[in-house]
Amino acid sequence: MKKLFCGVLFSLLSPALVHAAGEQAGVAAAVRGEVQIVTIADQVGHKVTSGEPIFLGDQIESAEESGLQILLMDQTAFTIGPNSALKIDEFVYDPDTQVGKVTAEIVKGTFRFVSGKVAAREPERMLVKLPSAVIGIRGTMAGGSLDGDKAHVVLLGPGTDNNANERVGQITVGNDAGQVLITRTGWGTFVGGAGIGPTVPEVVPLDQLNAITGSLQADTARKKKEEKDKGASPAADGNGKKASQLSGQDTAEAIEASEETGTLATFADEAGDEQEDTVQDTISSNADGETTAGEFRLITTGQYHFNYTNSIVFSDATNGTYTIKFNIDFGAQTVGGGTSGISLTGHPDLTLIASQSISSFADSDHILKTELNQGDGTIDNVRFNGSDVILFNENGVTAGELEGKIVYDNAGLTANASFETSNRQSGLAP
Amino acid sequence: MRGFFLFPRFPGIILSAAVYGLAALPLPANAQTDTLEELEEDIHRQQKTSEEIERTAGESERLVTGDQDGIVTFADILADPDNVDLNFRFARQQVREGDLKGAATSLERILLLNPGFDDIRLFYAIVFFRLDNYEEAKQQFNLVLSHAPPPSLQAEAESYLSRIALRQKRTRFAASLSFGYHLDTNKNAAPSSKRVLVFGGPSNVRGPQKDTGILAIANASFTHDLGLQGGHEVFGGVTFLQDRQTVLNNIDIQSYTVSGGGIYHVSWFDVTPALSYTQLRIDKESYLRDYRLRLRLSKEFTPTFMGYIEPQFSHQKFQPIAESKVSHGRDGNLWGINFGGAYVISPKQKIALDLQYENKNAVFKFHAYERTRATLTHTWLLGSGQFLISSGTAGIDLYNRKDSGVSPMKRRDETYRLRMIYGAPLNFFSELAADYTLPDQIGDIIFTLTGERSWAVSNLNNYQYRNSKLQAMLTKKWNF
Repeated sequence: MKKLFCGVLFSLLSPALVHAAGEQAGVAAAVRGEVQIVTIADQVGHKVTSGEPIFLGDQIESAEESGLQILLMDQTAFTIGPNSALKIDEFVYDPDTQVGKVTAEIVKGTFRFVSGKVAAREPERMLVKLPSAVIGIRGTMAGGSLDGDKAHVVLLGPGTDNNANERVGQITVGNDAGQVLITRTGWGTFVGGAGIGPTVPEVVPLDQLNAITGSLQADTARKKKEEKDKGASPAADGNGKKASQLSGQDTAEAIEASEETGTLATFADEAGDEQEDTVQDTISSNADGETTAGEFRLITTGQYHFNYTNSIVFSDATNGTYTIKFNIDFGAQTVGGGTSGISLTGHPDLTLIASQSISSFADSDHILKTELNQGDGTIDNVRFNGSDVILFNENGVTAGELEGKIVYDNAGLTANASFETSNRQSGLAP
Repeated sequence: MRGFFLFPRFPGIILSAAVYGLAALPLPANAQTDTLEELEEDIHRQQKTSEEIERTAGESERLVTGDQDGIVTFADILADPDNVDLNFRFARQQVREGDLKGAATSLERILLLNPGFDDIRLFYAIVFFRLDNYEEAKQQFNLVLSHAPPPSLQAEAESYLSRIALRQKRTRFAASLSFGYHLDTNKNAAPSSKRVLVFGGPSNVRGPQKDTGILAIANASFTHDLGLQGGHEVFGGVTFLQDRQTVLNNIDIQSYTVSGGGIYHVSWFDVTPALSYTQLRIDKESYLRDYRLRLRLSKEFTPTFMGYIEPQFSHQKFQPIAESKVSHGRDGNLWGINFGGAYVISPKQKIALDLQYENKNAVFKFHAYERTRATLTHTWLLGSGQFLISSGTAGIDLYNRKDSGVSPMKRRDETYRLRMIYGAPLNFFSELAADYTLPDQIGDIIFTLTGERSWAVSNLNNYQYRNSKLQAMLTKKWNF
């Protein structure tokens, strides 16, 4: 691993800078104001400039209205504000495997860190020491401030609503007296000093949070703004892109829209599945109940008939039988006709049932539900007036059953019978 | 898409040529002066002009090269950590790669040295917004506003501050309204052979019927943050759907669903129990009442891989209607289990696999079935709010008993569905067509176009069908 670091080191830095006793952990960046570095080798502070290497054991200390960012080789970034100090105690990193270990020590002031590759792979391999506690990392952004050995620590993300597929941040803060787990952005804890356990995590008051993160800002640290910005903002020429586009938010917003679209599609699918089952039932197996003309029309081929005989008692107490024949022709879309009719024995008599076209019925009409009547031409024998024939669906079969009644009146000789038959046979009645 | 990038570069090339041409011209003779003071002024002016030319030329170069600049490595940053251009390019590269935390640190470096770069600060603030670090985002948006930025930056910052205010409310409400128009080639799901089985024998029926329809979906929902560190929430919602056919009015559907539940975050899983009640109406007649309990356990194994398992139980009560007078024969309980996972291939692409098993009981045993389905979904974010969802579903339905009214054989269906949904906000189209940005309330309406092909292969001809569907829909969502 040393070879790897050296490879990076020699390619980046002049030999004059490779002087410290410790291994290089990173570089100083965005240095503003007065920032000193005290090395293990000489124990004498010198002013830090951006790009200068930071070695293990070096203590970086900022003055009033000063600060910097320290970039470690694994892309961990520490930002410290004015009157702050930080030391990298331990840093091991293999860029190939991204395995390593990071231990930093915040000595005083305000700080924020964003964990890098080491913590991303093995979060427990990164620790941030405070005077009175240790922060354990679980892939995250966190910040805090120190006042002597008292410490405020706050979790700064990524939160559960992040739309960047970032692991949700968590930290532990603990010492010999106890440990707490902080899992929600904007929540934090307070450590009152050595030997005092961290408080139960709670929402960090806004003014306190702003004091921590605000002190890291250049606006705050450099109140007089005596220096001007260096050149034009590189975003000014961002191909006319708005910040929402640069940040990928316009793309990420489509995540929500696509998920909602998927949910709507699923909701519509569930309703549509039931709709499909219903319509297939209608086609292939109509429900029990009176057959409607609409159901009849769905079938366009096939000829069937009912032929049913049963006993009947006349009003003069003589016994006889009745036979009902009834044709169904799906191809011609007619019922009745041919030999369809009602015949009696005992007092022999007969009426034919005329052919009726389904075309005269509305879809919702029940076929032949009205009484048979010689006057309207449905039968040819007035003595059977008042009889009726009704087609029913049975076991899902359209017109699978014939029900009705026979009403017979021949000059005072009467007979009545109700019938119900599902004995449908192929072909027209003989 | 490439054309969209090429077009804006032309002005940059022209600008670059003009600037370099200007730089090559000699200064006019009257720029020469006699006095030392005027000479100093001239030198200063020339220096300023040279700086301006250099800066503009640099800008032009960036316009030309845009995102196509070479890859910036972290070693480049370590070698020159204060290089504004390098950090900016690195930040954009990190965004593209999905490393938002890293982008935040790159942008911070620029801002620590150049606190007046309001456009970078806005970028930085939105990165915090995307990371769900709303307090720091707010701080940065407010800093942008305190610098009296140009109106476009101001509007963008104010828009995000409003969104943060909404997201930080403990109780959040949302409502959406969708209207769509669709065409189906076989809305009655009829076999193309026009033949069905009745008592095992063939009968002819009317074949597939094309139909169009109007789809409307309305949804209202809420979530309430319990205010605990775990981020536990309760939620509820109502959804109404109406699909009205142009010709086949007898299968118009209306569906109402009321649901509620909670999300409990524990260390290993997110646990989401939910109850729902659905009433489905066909042709204005109440057809199905579904009482359902779901328990979803989900876990984010890595930032790019999520898995879930969701057992569910449902009691279904059917009522006879004109279109299905024996629908009560479908009454019965359903239990099932869904499980699957999603993998984020890149910040713009995700693939998900969902597996489903259902066991449905019914009064008429020929309506009872076991269903197994698998759905593979690929979601692709195309930029500028556009997305493309492609999915394929395959399933097998095995019915428990024969339906003697149809056939002496037990029914076995294989069902398939291929679907693509393209979506984009209306703003995308207005900017593309007329370079015009619509007002927010209209611009964020999502247009979706769906193409779908579904078919069923059954051992019984009655249930064999093919259908193609085309649907256009507009969806507007409100958060409050």
